[in-house]
Amino acid sequence: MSFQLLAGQLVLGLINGSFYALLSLGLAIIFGILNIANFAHGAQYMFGAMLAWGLLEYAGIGYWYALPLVFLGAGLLGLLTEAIFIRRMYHVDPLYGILLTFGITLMMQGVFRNYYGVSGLPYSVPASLSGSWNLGVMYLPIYRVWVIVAAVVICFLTWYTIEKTRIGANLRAATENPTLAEAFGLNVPLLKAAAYAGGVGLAGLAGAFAAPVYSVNPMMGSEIVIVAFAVVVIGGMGSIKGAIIAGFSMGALEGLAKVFWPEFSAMVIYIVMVAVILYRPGVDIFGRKV
Amino acid sequence: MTADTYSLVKPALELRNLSAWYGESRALYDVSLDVKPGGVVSLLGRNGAGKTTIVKSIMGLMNRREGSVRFENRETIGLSPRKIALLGIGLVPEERGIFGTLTVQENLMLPPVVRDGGMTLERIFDLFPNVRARLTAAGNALSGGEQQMLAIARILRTGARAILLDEPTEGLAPVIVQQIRKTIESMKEMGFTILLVEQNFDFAARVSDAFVVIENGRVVDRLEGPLGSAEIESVRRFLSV
Repeated sequence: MSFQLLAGQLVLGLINGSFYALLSLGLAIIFGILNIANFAHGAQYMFGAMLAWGLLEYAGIGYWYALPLVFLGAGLLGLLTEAIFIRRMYHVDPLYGILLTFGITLMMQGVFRNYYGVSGLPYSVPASLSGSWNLGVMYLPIYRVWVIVAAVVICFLTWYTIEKTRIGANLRAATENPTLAEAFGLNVPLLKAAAYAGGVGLAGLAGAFAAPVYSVNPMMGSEIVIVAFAVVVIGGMGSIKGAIIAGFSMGALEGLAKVFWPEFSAMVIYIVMVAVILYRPGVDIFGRKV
Repeated sequence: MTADTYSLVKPALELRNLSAWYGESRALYDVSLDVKPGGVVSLLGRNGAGKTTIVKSIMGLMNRREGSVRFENRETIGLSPRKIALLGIGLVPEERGIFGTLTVQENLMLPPVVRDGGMTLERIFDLFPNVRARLTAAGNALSGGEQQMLAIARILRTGARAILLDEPTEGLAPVIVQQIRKTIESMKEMGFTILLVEQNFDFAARVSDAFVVIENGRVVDRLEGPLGSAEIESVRRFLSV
Protein backbone atom coordinates (compact mmCIF):
# COMPACT_ATOMS: atom_id res chain seq x y z
CA MET A 1 0.00 0.00 0.00
CA SER A 2 1.39 3.37 -0.93
CA PHE A 3 1.43 6.54 1.09
CA GLN A 4 -0.28 8.29 -1.83
CA LEU A 5 -3.23 5.98 -1.62
CA LEU A 6 -3.53 6.42 2.12
CA ALA A 7 -3.25 10.23 2.01
CA GLY A 8 -5.58 10.45 -0.96
CA GLN A 9 -8.29 8.37 0.69
CA LEU A 10 -7.87 10.27 3.93
CA VAL A 11 -8.45 13.58 2.16
CA LEU A 12 -11.43 12.13 0.31
CA GLY A 13 -12.70 10.78 3.60
CA LEU A 14 -12.32 14.15 5.28
CA ILE A 15 -14.23 15.92 2.53
CA ASN A 16 -17.05 13.39 2.88
CA GLY A 17 -16.72 13.89 6.62
CA SER A 18 -17.20 17.64 6.12
CA PHE A 19 -20.59 17.00 4.57
CA TYR A 20 -21.48 14.43 7.23
CA ALA A 21 -20.56 16.95 9.93
CA LEU A 22 -22.53 19.83 8.38
CA LEU A 23 -25.61 17.67 7.88
CA SER A 24 -25.40 15.89 11.22
CA LEU A 25 -24.95 19.21 12.96
CA GLY A 26 -28.26 20.49 11.59
CA LEU A 27 -29.97 17.19 12.36
CA ALA A 28 -28.64 17.24 15.92
CA ILE A 29 -29.84 20.81 16.47
CA ILE A 30 -33.30 20.00 15.13
CA PHE A 31 -33.51 16.73 17.03
CA GLY A 32 -32.25 18.27 20.26
CA ILE A 33 -34.51 21.30 20.28
CA LEU A 34 -37.63 20.18 18.40
CA ASN A 35 -37.42 16.46 19.13
CA ILE A 36 -38.04 15.88 15.43
CA ALA A 37 -36.04 13.34 13.40
CA ASN A 38 -35.84 15.49 10.29
CA PHE A 39 -35.88 13.01 7.42
CA ALA A 40 -36.37 15.92 5.01
CA HIS A 41 -32.76 16.93 5.69
CA GLY A 42 -31.44 15.18 2.59
CA ALA A 43 -34.02 16.88 0.39
CA GLN A 44 -33.17 20.23 1.98
CA TYR A 45 -29.49 19.58 1.19
CA MET A 46 -30.54 18.82 -2.40
CA PHE A 47 -32.58 22.03 -2.41
CA GLY A 48 -29.44 23.98 -1.49
CA ALA A 49 -27.48 22.42 -4.36
CA MET A 50 -30.33 23.01 -6.83
CA LEU A 51 -30.66 26.59 -5.63
CA ALA A 52 -26.94 27.22 -6.14
CA TRP A 53 -27.23 25.70 -9.61
CA GLY A 54 -30.39 27.70 -10.39
CA LEU A 55 -28.85 30.98 -9.23
CA LEU A 56 -26.01 30.49 -11.69
CA GLU A 57 -28.15 29.09 -14.50
CA TYR A 58 -31.00 31.60 -14.39
CA ALA A 59 -29.54 34.68 -12.72
CA GLY A 60 -25.83 34.41 -13.42
CA ILE A 61 -25.07 34.57 -9.72
CA GLY A 62 -21.80 32.81 -9.05
CA TYR A 63 -20.56 30.60 -6.27
CA TRP A 64 -19.43 33.20 -3.74
CA TYR A 65 -22.68 35.15 -3.76
CA ALA A 66 -24.65 31.91 -3.93
CA LEU A 67 -23.29 30.65 -0.58
CA PRO A 68 -24.98 33.26 1.66
CA LEU A 69 -28.05 33.35 -0.61
CA VAL A 70 -28.45 29.58 -0.39
CA PHE A 71 -28.09 29.67 3.39
CA LEU A 72 -30.81 32.32 3.59
CA GLY A 73 -32.99 30.64 0.97
CA ALA A 74 -32.81 27.27 2.68
CA GLY A 75 -33.41 28.97 6.03
CA LEU A 76 -36.54 30.56 4.58
CA LEU A 77 -37.64 27.17 3.28
CA GLY A 78 -37.09 25.87 6.81
CA LEU A 79 -39.19 28.66 8.33
CA LEU A 80 -42.06 27.92 5.95
CA THR A 81 -41.79 24.16 6.45
CA GLU A 82 -41.84 24.63 10.22
CA ALA A 83 -44.81 26.98 10.12
CA ILE A 84 -46.87 24.85 7.75
CA PHE A 85 -45.95 21.29 8.76
CA ILE A 86 -43.44 20.67 11.54
CA ARG A 87 -45.19 22.80 14.16
CA ARG A 88 -48.13 20.40 14.13
CA MET A 89 -45.90 17.54 15.19
CA TYR A 90 -44.77 18.93 18.56
CA HIS A 91 -47.57 17.43 20.59
CA VAL A 92 -47.98 14.10 18.84
CA ASP A 93 -45.99 10.87 18.79
CA PRO A 94 -42.50 11.43 17.23
CA LEU A 95 -43.32 8.71 14.70
CA TYR A 96 -45.63 11.15 12.93
CA GLY A 97 -42.74 13.58 12.56
CA ILE A 98 -40.65 10.89 10.87
CA LEU A 99 -43.45 10.04 8.46
CA LEU A 100 -44.19 13.69 7.74
CA THR A 101 -40.59 14.66 7.03
CA PHE A 102 -40.17 11.54 4.90
CA GLY A 103 -43.25 12.63 2.94
CA ILE A 104 -41.79 16.12 2.52
CA THR A 105 -38.67 14.48 1.07
CA LEU A 106 -40.73 12.55 -1.48
CA MET A 107 -42.67 15.69 -2.43
CA MET A 108 -39.53 17.76 -2.91
CA GLN A 109 -37.76 15.04 -4.87
CA GLY A 110 -40.85 14.57 -7.04
CA VAL A 111 -41.15 18.24 -7.87
CA PHE A 112 -37.48 18.63 -8.78
CA ARG A 113 -37.41 15.37 -10.72
CA ASN A 114 -40.38 16.52 -12.75
CA TYR A 115 -38.53 19.62 -13.95
CA TYR A 116 -34.91 18.57 -13.99
CA GLY A 117 -34.82 14.79 -14.41
CA VAL A 118 -32.29 12.65 -12.56
CA SER A 119 -29.29 12.74 -14.83
CA GLY A 120 -27.40 15.39 -12.90
CA LEU A 121 -26.74 19.06 -13.60
CA PRO A 122 -23.24 20.46 -14.08
CA TYR A 123 -21.85 23.00 -11.63
CA SER A 124 -18.22 23.77 -12.03
CA VAL A 125 -15.68 24.63 -9.37
CA PRO A 126 -15.35 28.43 -9.11
CA ALA A 127 -12.27 29.73 -10.92
CA SER A 128 -10.75 31.06 -7.70
CA LEU A 129 -10.74 27.55 -6.21
CA SER A 130 -9.90 25.47 -9.25
CA GLY A 131 -6.64 23.66 -9.70
CA SER A 132 -4.68 21.71 -7.18
CA TRP A 133 -1.57 21.89 -5.08
CA ASN A 134 1.26 19.54 -5.84
CA LEU A 135 2.39 18.17 -2.51
CA GLY A 136 4.97 15.88 -4.07
CA VAL A 137 3.26 12.72 -2.91
CA MET A 138 -0.16 13.75 -4.18
CA TYR A 139 -2.18 16.42 -5.92
CA LEU A 140 -4.51 18.18 -3.51
CA PRO A 141 -7.51 19.78 -5.23
CA ILE A 142 -7.91 23.28 -3.80
CA TYR A 143 -11.71 23.11 -3.80
CA ARG A 144 -11.64 20.07 -1.49
CA VAL A 145 -9.31 21.81 0.93
CA TRP A 146 -11.67 24.78 0.88
CA VAL A 147 -14.68 22.60 1.70
CA ILE A 148 -12.91 21.01 4.65
CA VAL A 149 -11.73 24.36 6.03
CA ALA A 150 -15.13 26.00 5.49
CA ALA A 151 -16.93 23.09 7.17
CA VAL A 152 -14.63 23.25 10.19
CA VAL A 153 -15.20 27.01 10.51
CA ILE A 154 -18.99 26.72 10.12
CA CYS A 155 -19.16 23.86 12.62
CA PHE A 156 -17.14 25.89 15.10
CA LEU A 157 -19.29 29.01 14.65
CA THR A 158 -22.47 26.98 15.09
CA TRP A 159 -21.10 25.28 18.18
CA TYR A 160 -20.01 28.65 19.55
CA THR A 161 -23.42 30.21 18.91
CA ILE A 162 -25.19 27.43 20.75
CA GLU A 163 -22.77 26.92 23.61
CA LYS A 164 -21.46 30.42 24.29
CA THR A 165 -24.01 33.08 23.33
CA ARG A 166 -27.19 34.45 24.85
CA ILE A 167 -29.40 33.08 22.08
CA GLY A 168 -27.67 29.72 22.48
CA ALA A 169 -28.44 29.73 26.22
CA ASN A 170 -32.09 30.39 25.39
CA LEU A 171 -32.08 27.48 22.95
CA ARG A 172 -30.47 25.16 25.48
CA ALA A 173 -32.94 26.21 28.17
CA ALA A 174 -35.85 25.59 25.79
CA THR A 175 -34.36 22.17 25.02
CA GLU A 176 -33.85 21.19 28.63
CA ASN A 177 -37.21 22.33 29.98
CA PRO A 178 -39.52 24.09 27.50
CA THR A 179 -42.33 24.55 30.02
CA LEU A 180 -40.12 26.29 32.53
CA ALA A 181 -38.41 28.36 29.82
CA GLU A 182 -41.82 29.62 28.79
CA ALA A 183 -42.76 30.39 32.40
CA PHE A 184 -39.70 32.67 32.52
CA GLY A 185 -40.96 34.59 29.50
CA LEU A 186 -38.95 32.94 26.73
CA ASN A 187 -40.60 32.63 23.33
CA VAL A 188 -40.19 28.89 22.91
CA PRO A 189 -42.19 28.55 19.66
CA LEU A 190 -40.00 31.22 18.05
CA LEU A 191 -36.83 29.50 19.30
CA LYS A 192 -38.02 26.22 17.78
CA ALA A 193 -38.77 27.86 14.44
CA ALA A 194 -35.36 29.54 14.45
CA ALA A 195 -33.63 26.25 15.29
CA TYR A 196 -35.38 24.48 12.44
CA ALA A 197 -34.61 27.28 10.00
CA GLY A 198 -30.96 27.27 11.12
CA GLY A 199 -30.67 23.50 10.68
CA VAL A 200 -32.23 23.63 7.21
CA GLY A 201 -29.99 26.58 6.34
CA LEU A 202 -26.95 24.46 7.21
CA ALA A 203 -28.27 21.58 5.08
CA GLY A 204 -28.76 23.96 2.16
CA LEU A 205 -25.29 25.40 2.60
CA ALA A 206 -23.84 21.87 2.60
CA GLY A 207 -25.71 21.32 -0.67
CA ALA A 208 -24.12 24.42 -2.19
CA PHE A 209 -20.67 23.19 -1.10
CA ALA A 210 -21.48 19.83 -2.65
CA ALA A 211 -22.63 21.21 -6.01
CA PRO A 212 -19.14 21.34 -7.61
CA VAL A 213 -18.01 17.95 -6.22
CA TYR A 214 -21.03 15.69 -6.35
CA SER A 215 -23.62 15.44 -9.07
CA VAL A 216 -26.45 17.98 -8.63
CA ASN A 217 -29.64 15.98 -8.99
CA PRO A 218 -32.97 15.59 -7.19
CA MET A 219 -31.94 12.32 -5.54
CA MET A 220 -28.54 13.47 -4.27
CA GLY A 221 -29.68 13.75 -0.65
CA SER A 222 -31.38 10.41 -0.30
CA GLU A 223 -28.31 8.42 0.63
CA ILE A 224 -26.27 10.96 2.54
CA VAL A 225 -29.16 11.69 4.91
CA ILE A 226 -29.04 8.09 6.13
CA VAL A 227 -25.30 8.38 6.80
CA ALA A 228 -25.95 11.69 8.57
CA PHE A 229 -28.50 10.02 10.85
CA ALA A 230 -26.01 7.26 11.63
CA VAL A 231 -23.46 9.95 12.49
CA VAL A 232 -25.95 11.70 14.79
CA VAL A 233 -26.51 8.41 16.60
CA ILE A 234 -22.76 7.85 16.92
CA GLY A 235 -22.20 11.39 18.19
CA GLY A 236 -24.98 11.02 20.76
CA MET A 237 -28.52 11.97 19.79
CA GLY A 238 -28.80 15.73 19.82
CA SER A 239 -25.21 16.42 20.91
CA ILE A 240 -23.77 19.26 18.85
CA LYS A 241 -20.11 18.63 19.57
CA GLY A 242 -20.66 14.90 19.20
CA ALA A 243 -22.22 15.31 15.75
CA ILE A 244 -19.33 17.46 14.53
CA ILE A 245 -16.57 15.18 15.78
CA ALA A 246 -18.39 12.02 14.70
CA GLY A 247 -19.01 13.57 11.26
CA PHE A 248 -15.35 14.27 10.52
CA SER A 249 -14.06 11.09 12.11
CA MET A 250 -16.58 8.85 10.35
CA GLY A 251 -15.57 10.42 7.03
CA ALA A 252 -11.92 9.73 7.81
CA LEU A 253 -12.73 6.21 8.97
CA GLU A 254 -14.60 5.53 5.75
CA GLY A 255 -11.60 6.79 3.78
CA LEU A 256 -9.21 4.54 5.72
CA ALA A 257 -11.56 1.61 5.28
CA LYS A 258 -11.28 2.09 1.52
CA VAL A 259 -7.54 1.45 1.85
CA PHE A 260 -7.48 -1.34 4.40
CA TRP A 261 -10.81 -3.05 3.99
CA PRO A 262 -12.41 -1.87 0.75
CA GLU A 263 -15.23 -4.42 0.79
CA PHE A 264 -16.53 -2.97 4.03
CA SER A 265 -15.96 0.72 3.38
CA ALA A 266 -19.58 1.33 2.38
CA MET A 267 -20.87 -0.10 5.63
CA VAL A 268 -18.20 0.78 8.17
CA ILE A 269 -20.19 3.75 9.51
CA TYR A 270 -23.23 1.58 10.03
CA ILE A 271 -21.13 -1.00 11.85
CA VAL A 272 -19.98 1.73 14.24
CA MET A 273 -23.58 2.92 14.61
CA VAL A 274 -24.82 -0.56 15.50
CA ALA A 275 -21.98 -0.95 18.00
CA VAL A 276 -22.88 2.40 19.58
CA ILE A 277 -26.54 1.46 19.83
CA LEU A 278 -25.70 -1.92 21.36
CA TYR A 279 -22.96 -0.90 23.75
CA ARG A 280 -23.26 2.81 24.47
CA PRO A 281 -26.89 3.82 24.04
CA GLY A 282 -27.91 7.15 25.51
CA VAL A 283 -24.45 8.70 25.88
CA ASP A 284 -22.51 10.96 23.53
CA ILE A 285 -18.97 10.23 22.37
CA PHE A 286 -17.61 11.95 25.48
CA GLY A 287 -19.56 9.52 27.66
CA ARG A 288 -22.00 12.15 28.87
CA LYS A 289 -25.67 11.37 29.11
CA VAL A 290 -27.83 12.83 26.37
CA MET B 1 -59.60 55.36 54.56
CA THR B 2 -58.85 57.72 51.69
CA ALA B 3 -59.09 56.77 48.06
CA ASP B 4 -55.31 56.62 47.85
CA THR B 5 -54.77 54.18 50.66
CA TYR B 6 -57.67 52.15 49.33
CA SER B 7 -55.95 51.70 45.99
CA LEU B 8 -52.79 50.72 47.82
CA VAL B 9 -54.44 47.82 49.55
CA LYS B 10 -56.20 46.57 46.47
CA PRO B 11 -54.74 43.12 45.93
CA ALA B 12 -51.81 42.79 43.55
CA LEU B 13 -52.73 39.20 42.95
CA GLU B 14 -56.36 38.22 43.10
CA LEU B 15 -57.61 34.66 42.61
CA ARG B 16 -61.35 34.09 42.29
CA ASN B 17 -62.94 30.66 42.00
CA LEU B 18 -59.83 29.26 40.38
CA SER B 19 -60.22 25.65 39.26
CA ALA B 20 -57.68 23.54 37.45
CA TRP B 21 -57.34 20.07 36.03
CA TYR B 22 -54.58 17.54 35.40
CA GLY B 23 -55.98 15.87 32.29
CA GLU B 24 -59.41 14.65 33.33
CA SER B 25 -58.89 14.87 37.05
CA ARG B 26 -59.75 18.06 38.85
CA ALA B 27 -57.03 19.38 41.11
CA LEU B 28 -58.38 22.75 42.33
CA TYR B 29 -61.89 23.68 43.44
CA ASP B 30 -62.87 27.36 43.41
CA VAL B 31 -59.76 28.70 45.09
CA SER B 32 -60.05 32.37 46.03
CA LEU B 33 -57.30 34.36 47.69
CA ASP B 34 -55.68 37.79 47.65
CA VAL B 35 -52.12 38.96 48.03
CA LYS B 36 -51.78 42.65 48.76
CA PRO B 37 -49.03 44.67 47.15
CA GLY B 38 -45.92 44.13 49.24
CA GLY B 39 -47.61 41.38 51.21
CA VAL B 40 -46.40 37.88 51.89
CA VAL B 41 -49.05 35.17 51.87
CA SER B 42 -48.22 31.56 52.66
CA LEU B 43 -50.05 28.58 51.29
CA LEU B 44 -50.06 25.88 53.92
CA GLY B 45 -51.17 22.31 53.58
CA ARG B 46 -50.00 18.75 53.51
CA ASN B 47 -48.23 17.09 50.61
CA GLY B 48 -50.51 16.82 47.61
CA ALA B 49 -53.03 19.33 48.99
CA GLY B 50 -52.75 21.44 45.84
CA LYS B 51 -50.34 24.22 46.82
CA THR B 52 -47.98 23.76 43.90
CA THR B 53 -50.99 23.37 41.61
CA ILE B 54 -52.13 26.84 42.66
CA VAL B 55 -48.70 28.25 41.76
CA LYS B 56 -48.75 26.45 38.41
CA SER B 57 -52.26 27.68 37.71
CA ILE B 58 -51.29 31.27 38.38
CA MET B 59 -48.43 30.89 35.85
CA GLY B 60 -50.78 29.29 33.31
CA LEU B 61 -48.87 26.01 33.40
CA MET B 62 -51.95 23.77 33.78
CA ASN B 63 -53.49 22.66 30.50
CA ARG B 64 -56.92 23.59 31.81
CA ARG B 65 -57.78 26.31 34.31
CA GLU B 66 -60.97 28.25 34.93
CA GLY B 67 -62.06 31.13 37.09
CA SER B 68 -60.16 34.35 37.45
CA VAL B 69 -56.55 35.28 38.18
CA ARG B 70 -56.05 39.03 38.17
CA PHE B 71 -52.60 40.54 38.44
CA GLU B 72 -52.47 44.30 39.05
CA ASN B 73 -56.06 44.47 37.90
CA ARG B 74 -55.43 42.57 34.70
CA GLU B 75 -57.18 39.30 33.94
CA THR B 76 -54.63 36.62 33.02
CA ILE B 77 -56.81 33.52 32.76
CA GLY B 78 -56.60 33.44 28.95
CA LEU B 79 -52.90 34.27 28.71
CA SER B 80 -49.98 31.94 27.93
CA PRO B 81 -47.30 31.33 30.59
CA ARG B 82 -44.97 33.56 28.62
CA LYS B 83 -47.37 36.50 28.59
CA ILE B 84 -48.03 36.03 32.30
CA ALA B 85 -44.30 36.08 33.03
CA LEU B 86 -43.88 39.22 30.94
CA LEU B 87 -46.58 40.98 33.00
CA GLY B 88 -44.19 40.77 35.93
CA ILE B 89 -44.90 37.57 37.82
CA GLY B 90 -41.66 35.78 38.64
CA LEU B 91 -41.53 32.08 39.40
CA VAL B 92 -39.13 30.38 41.77
CA PRO B 93 -40.35 26.88 41.00
CA GLU B 94 -40.41 23.78 43.14
CA GLU B 95 -37.09 21.93 43.02
CA ARG B 96 -35.63 25.30 41.97
CA GLY B 97 -35.74 24.78 38.22
CA ILE B 98 -32.07 25.50 37.55
CA PHE B 99 -31.10 24.59 34.00
CA GLY B 100 -28.30 22.05 34.37
CA THR B 101 -26.94 22.53 30.86
CA LEU B 102 -26.53 26.28 31.39
CA THR B 103 -23.85 27.95 33.46
CA VAL B 104 -24.76 29.90 36.58
CA GLN B 105 -24.32 33.15 34.66
CA GLU B 106 -26.52 31.91 31.81
CA ASN B 107 -29.18 30.84 34.29
CA LEU B 108 -29.00 34.24 35.93
CA MET B 109 -29.34 36.12 32.65
CA LEU B 110 -31.96 33.79 31.14
CA PRO B 111 -35.32 35.36 32.07
CA PRO B 112 -35.89 38.53 30.04
CA VAL B 113 -36.19 41.82 31.91
CA VAL B 114 -39.93 42.50 32.13
CA ARG B 115 -39.87 45.88 33.80
CA ASP B 116 -37.54 48.66 34.84
CA GLY B 117 -36.40 48.62 38.41
CA GLY B 118 -35.01 45.10 38.55
CA MET B 119 -31.99 44.59 40.74
CA THR B 120 -28.57 45.31 39.31
CA LEU B 121 -26.11 42.46 39.18
CA GLU B 122 -24.03 44.27 41.80
CA ARG B 123 -26.87 44.24 44.29
CA ILE B 124 -27.70 40.63 43.51
CA PHE B 125 -24.10 39.64 44.13
CA ASP B 126 -24.14 41.56 47.42
CA LEU B 127 -27.19 39.56 48.48
CA PHE B 128 -25.83 36.26 47.16
CA PRO B 129 -22.03 36.28 47.24
CA ASN B 130 -21.88 32.55 46.42
CA VAL B 131 -23.68 33.15 43.13
CA ARG B 132 -20.90 35.50 42.08
CA ALA B 133 -18.26 33.02 43.15
CA ARG B 134 -19.73 30.27 40.95
CA LEU B 135 -20.71 32.21 37.81
CA THR B 136 -18.89 29.92 35.39
CA ALA B 137 -19.99 26.64 37.02
CA ALA B 138 -22.63 24.50 35.35
CA GLY B 139 -26.09 24.80 36.85
CA ASN B 140 -26.15 21.15 37.86
CA ALA B 141 -22.84 21.48 39.69
CA LEU B 142 -24.37 23.70 42.39
CA SER B 143 -25.43 22.55 45.83
CA GLY B 144 -29.14 22.71 46.68
CA GLY B 145 -28.65 25.90 48.65
CA GLU B 146 -26.69 27.58 45.87
CA GLN B 147 -29.37 26.54 43.37
CA GLN B 148 -32.06 28.08 45.53
CA MET B 149 -30.13 31.35 45.80
CA LEU B 150 -29.68 31.35 42.03
CA ALA B 151 -33.38 30.62 41.48
CA ILE B 152 -34.29 33.68 43.56
CA ALA B 153 -31.50 35.86 42.15
CA ARG B 154 -32.55 35.15 38.60
CA ILE B 155 -36.04 36.53 39.24
CA LEU B 156 -34.85 39.62 41.14
CA ARG B 157 -32.99 40.75 38.01
CA THR B 158 -36.11 40.85 35.84
CA GLY B 159 -38.00 43.63 37.59
CA ALA B 160 -40.93 41.30 38.35
CA ARG B 161 -42.85 42.73 41.29
CA ALA B 162 -44.70 39.60 42.32
CA ILE B 163 -42.87 36.42 43.11
CA LEU B 164 -44.20 32.90 43.50
CA LEU B 165 -41.85 30.95 45.78
CA ASP B 166 -42.56 27.24 45.71
CA GLU B 167 -40.98 25.38 48.66
CA PRO B 168 -37.79 27.45 48.83
CA THR B 169 -36.48 25.63 51.92
CA GLU B 170 -37.19 22.08 50.84
CA GLY B 171 -34.30 19.76 51.60
CA LEU B 172 -31.92 22.51 52.68
CA ALA B 173 -29.68 22.70 55.76
CA PRO B 174 -30.88 24.94 58.63
CA VAL B 175 -28.13 27.49 58.05
CA ILE B 176 -29.24 27.89 54.42
CA VAL B 177 -32.89 28.05 55.45
CA GLN B 178 -31.97 30.95 57.73
CA GLN B 179 -30.24 32.72 54.85
CA ILE B 180 -33.30 32.27 52.66
CA ARG B 181 -35.52 33.63 55.42
CA LYS B 182 -33.34 36.75 55.58
CA THR B 183 -33.57 37.06 51.82
CA ILE B 184 -37.36 36.87 51.88
CA GLU B 185 -37.44 39.43 54.68
CA SER B 186 -35.33 41.86 52.69
CA MET B 187 -37.45 41.23 49.57
CA LYS B 188 -40.46 42.09 51.69
CA GLU B 189 -38.78 45.33 52.79
CA MET B 190 -38.15 46.13 49.13
CA GLY B 191 -41.87 45.84 48.51
CA PHE B 192 -42.13 42.60 46.58
CA THR B 193 -45.49 40.85 46.58
CA ILE B 194 -44.85 37.24 47.54
CA LEU B 195 -46.90 34.08 47.44
CA LEU B 196 -45.03 31.41 49.36
CA VAL B 197 -45.63 27.68 49.35
CA GLU B 198 -44.09 26.16 52.43
CA GLN B 199 -44.17 22.82 54.23
CA ASN B 200 -42.12 24.29 57.03
CA PHE B 201 -44.76 26.11 59.05
CA ASP B 202 -42.34 27.70 61.49
CA PHE B 203 -40.50 29.22 58.56
CA ALA B 204 -43.70 30.45 56.95
CA ALA B 205 -45.01 31.87 60.22
CA ARG B 206 -41.96 34.08 60.62
CA VAL B 207 -42.11 35.77 57.22
CA SER B 208 -45.81 35.88 56.28
CA ASP B 209 -48.60 38.41 56.85
CA ALA B 210 -51.38 35.99 56.06
CA PHE B 211 -51.91 32.26 55.64
CA VAL B 212 -54.21 30.27 53.43
CA VAL B 213 -54.71 26.63 54.36
CA ILE B 214 -55.29 24.24 51.45
CA GLU B 215 -56.74 20.76 51.62
CA ASN B 216 -57.84 18.57 48.70
CA GLY B 217 -57.57 21.45 46.27
CA ARG B 218 -59.79 23.75 48.33
CA VAL B 219 -59.22 26.67 50.67
CA VAL B 220 -60.20 25.42 54.11
CA ASP B 221 -58.97 28.26 56.29
CA ARG B 222 -57.57 31.79 56.16
CA LEU B 223 -55.58 33.41 58.91
CA GLU B 224 -54.20 36.91 59.29
CA GLY B 225 -50.81 37.24 60.95
CA PRO B 226 -49.34 37.64 63.40
CA LEU B 227 -50.79 34.41 64.71
CA GLY B 228 -51.66 33.85 68.36
CA SER B 229 -50.29 30.77 70.05
CA ALA B 230 -53.69 29.03 69.90
CA GLU B 231 -53.85 29.57 66.13
CA ILE B 232 -50.31 28.34 65.69
CA GLU B 233 -51.16 25.20 67.65
CA SER B 234 -54.26 24.49 65.59
CA VAL B 235 -52.48 24.98 62.26
CA ARG B 236 -49.59 22.84 63.40
CA ARG B 237 -51.96 20.09 64.47
CA PHE B 238 -53.79 20.31 61.15
CA LEU B 239 -50.57 20.03 59.15
CA SER B 240 -49.17 17.15 61.14
CA VAL B 241 -52.23 14.90 61.09
